[in-house]
Amino acid sequence: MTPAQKQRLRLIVALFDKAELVLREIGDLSGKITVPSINELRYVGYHIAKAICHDDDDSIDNELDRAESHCQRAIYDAYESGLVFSLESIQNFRDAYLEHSDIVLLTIPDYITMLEQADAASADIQRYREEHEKNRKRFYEDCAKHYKTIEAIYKKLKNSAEPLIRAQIIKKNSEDRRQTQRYISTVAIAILAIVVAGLIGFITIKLMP
Amino acid sequence: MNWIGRVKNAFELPPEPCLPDLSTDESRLSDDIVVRYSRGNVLLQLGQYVTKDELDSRIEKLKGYRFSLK
Repeated sequence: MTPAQKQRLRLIVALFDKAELVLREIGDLSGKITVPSINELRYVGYHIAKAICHDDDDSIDNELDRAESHCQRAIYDAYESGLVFSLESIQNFRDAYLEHSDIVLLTIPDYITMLEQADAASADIQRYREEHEKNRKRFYEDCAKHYKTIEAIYKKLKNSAEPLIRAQIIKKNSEDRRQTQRYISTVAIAILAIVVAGLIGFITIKLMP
Repeated sequence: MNWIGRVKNAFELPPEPCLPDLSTDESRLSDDIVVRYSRGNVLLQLGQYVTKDELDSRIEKLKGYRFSLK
């Protein structure tokens, strides 16, 4: 193996470490391990082993190319899995609080921007799949950027915004209930007043000589 | 072979560990078990994993969804 090939091998190890790290991060976030990513890492090991077995430089380079591309694909797959989990959670949040969008917007002023970013990330992962089915590994860095943005949104909605929004909704519901109670009381008193006035009028007419 | 079988076959999962039944109750995961088994392996043992087919279908579901409020 030439020094240049050894250097490439070091880069592949760095990519492998990155893939491991991302895989663990996504596992911690979603509570699920991403099987396609693990499969890609299995292939990395296989191609490195084959590279070590070869004697000619071209074959070694070819195996290293393939190992590198499986590392990139492993990173892509892990990020994609994390993105899907985060997007689904944002989708659930959006649908759950759709009727209370006014409260959500008051609590999170950049909520609309967040949803637009979710739309953009969702459209991009669809595009990578449709237009670059066999070559999605090229987009692992783009996928990483989307993931960082969407993960931050997911965490903000879940950890800080949701409890505040729930509290606001409970407050609004009790205010609505109090207003309804006041309205019903006012109407009941008015009806009672009319009945009493009617009775007094009736009695007065009856008692008149 | 069913889907569980296919995944198990693909990874040649290690033999069932001599642990309490982890397949039904995630809350039984204690720190010492996590130490004894790598987290990834524990998740696999618990059936907590995302396969390619599942990911494909979830992305397909997201396809027609619009996040924007407009």
